[in-house]
Amino acid sequence: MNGALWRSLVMSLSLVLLIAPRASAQAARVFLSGTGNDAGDCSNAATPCRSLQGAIDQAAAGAEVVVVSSGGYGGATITKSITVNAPTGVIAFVGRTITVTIAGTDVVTLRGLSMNGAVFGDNYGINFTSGGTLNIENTVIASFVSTGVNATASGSKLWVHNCDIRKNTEGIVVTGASAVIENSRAVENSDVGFYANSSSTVLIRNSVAQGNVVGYYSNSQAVSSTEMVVDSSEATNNNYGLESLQNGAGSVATLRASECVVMNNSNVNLYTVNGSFLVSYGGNRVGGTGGNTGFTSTEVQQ
Amino acid sequence: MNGTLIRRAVVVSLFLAVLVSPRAFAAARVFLSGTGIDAGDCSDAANPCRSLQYAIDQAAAGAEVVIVSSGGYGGATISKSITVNAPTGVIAFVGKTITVTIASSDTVTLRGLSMNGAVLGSLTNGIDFTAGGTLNVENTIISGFHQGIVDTAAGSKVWVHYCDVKNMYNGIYIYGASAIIENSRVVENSNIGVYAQVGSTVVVRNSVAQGNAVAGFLAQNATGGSTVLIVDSCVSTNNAYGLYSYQSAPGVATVRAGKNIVMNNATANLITFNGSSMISHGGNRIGGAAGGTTGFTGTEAQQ
Repeated sequence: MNGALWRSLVMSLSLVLLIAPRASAQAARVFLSGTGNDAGDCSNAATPCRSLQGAIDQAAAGAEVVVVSSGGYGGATITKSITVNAPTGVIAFVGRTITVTIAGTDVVTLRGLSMNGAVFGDNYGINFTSGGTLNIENTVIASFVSTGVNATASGSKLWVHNCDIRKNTEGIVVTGASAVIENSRAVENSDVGFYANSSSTVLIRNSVAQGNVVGYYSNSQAVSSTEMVVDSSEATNNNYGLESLQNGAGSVATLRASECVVMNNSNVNLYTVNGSFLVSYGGNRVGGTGGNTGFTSTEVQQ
Repeated sequence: MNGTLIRRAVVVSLFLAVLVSPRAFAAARVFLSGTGIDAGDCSDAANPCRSLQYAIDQAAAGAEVVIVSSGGYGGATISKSITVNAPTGVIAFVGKTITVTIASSDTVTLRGLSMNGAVLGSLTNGIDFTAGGTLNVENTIISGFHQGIVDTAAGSKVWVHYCDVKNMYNGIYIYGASAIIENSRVVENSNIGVYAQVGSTVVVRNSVAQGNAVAGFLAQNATGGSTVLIVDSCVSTNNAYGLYSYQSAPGVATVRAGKNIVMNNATANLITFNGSSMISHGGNRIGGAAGGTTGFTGTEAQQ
């Protein structure tokens, strides 16, 4: 090969680089389908991605993954702000863990997933390890080995809305963070349904805990304060309906309940351990199997 | 090439073929469509199955049958853990019985079905839960069968959520099992809306029983042990009886009621027999043009 040939080759390569599309302009929304293909940037609804991780990787920070048809999309690790949005009418199946590990200013929203861990046997449905804010909406999380939603991101915020969490070991566990859970159900988890752990603040409303060992559980570890508020919710057919437990020296565990149905919990409907607090704000219907006593105090409605 | 070499090559090739061919394990999710074909393993969204039974047979235990479009899918017998999942926007029509007969550690979830037995299933039950286990029935309409949801699986658990169960003999019938029924409607059944039979524990919440020819909500026990029916934040109207507790020694039957509307039931709003219990937890609104205003046998104060 002579020098002229080399020069033209170098020039051709330069031109190729110049006219190639910029790889850095990520889309504000990318598309995902069970018949898609993890190639290109998936920003065209006609050429969607195939896997959740592939779609997230193509999306810009803060962008939206639009799930356009039913399919199985696999697990993912999310490290930036993103919305994964499966509409009513689409089954967005996920059988593996979704890990959310984001900055304190980031927001992740997961909407409309059908998560089922029975076949693959992963520990967590959604594992929120650092952040930030995580919204989980209209999602079913079933049959994961350990926990449906495990929120251990210190100082984070978790919002759960219209979700079913069942047949895991624990349903939703919040440790050292704050959570609001509404219109959701924790059913037949083999340990705790809704679990406020060490230094967390959890508010639950219009929700249901059934067939767990403990329905609603406020548990403070040593030198921490844990607060759980349960309103207009139901606890039936658990071993324990509402339980607060102070688990170490200097800790305070409080569970505040109003307008709840707490019945037929096979051991005890209302349960406190080690001087913890179970405060009634009135309107609770307590009875059936499990007895009808156990609040440590009552505060009148105003 | 001599014989030994050829034999070795063949053995190695076969070994490689086994290694590289896909493992024949069943899929974690299979797809089902009214325009699908019952062939292959249906694990590709582009090649769905056609019938519910074939899809279930292809799926791994614990897997999910994803219904991708509207269609008629036929009845099925389910003998392992499975989720059948039809989203809003898809009509997953089933005209024949779904029988669930599973191990006690298994879970079956049926979501979003449109079950109508008027043409093919009027003498049989819609969902027949005969052994298990846990059964979730959600967002499902059941009509035109003999009975809607029947749980006779001893010690089982059934969870009914957002279902309409109507125009049958009994809507939901639970015998020797536990059930939770929420956000559901039992309407115009020719006998009982929600029927808690011998040894069962049934909780009903945010639900409606209307126009059932005998009773809206019934706890019955003429055999022995205890039947408990808890009804909270429900409506029972325009039945013959609103809340009905029936026992005959040595059986014990208890209804516990809070925050319900029990009105305009033609014969009686509240009725007990042979010393059965009907306990108010307060907040019940009882009355109307028919059925009267009395019948609780005791009250437990809210806390």
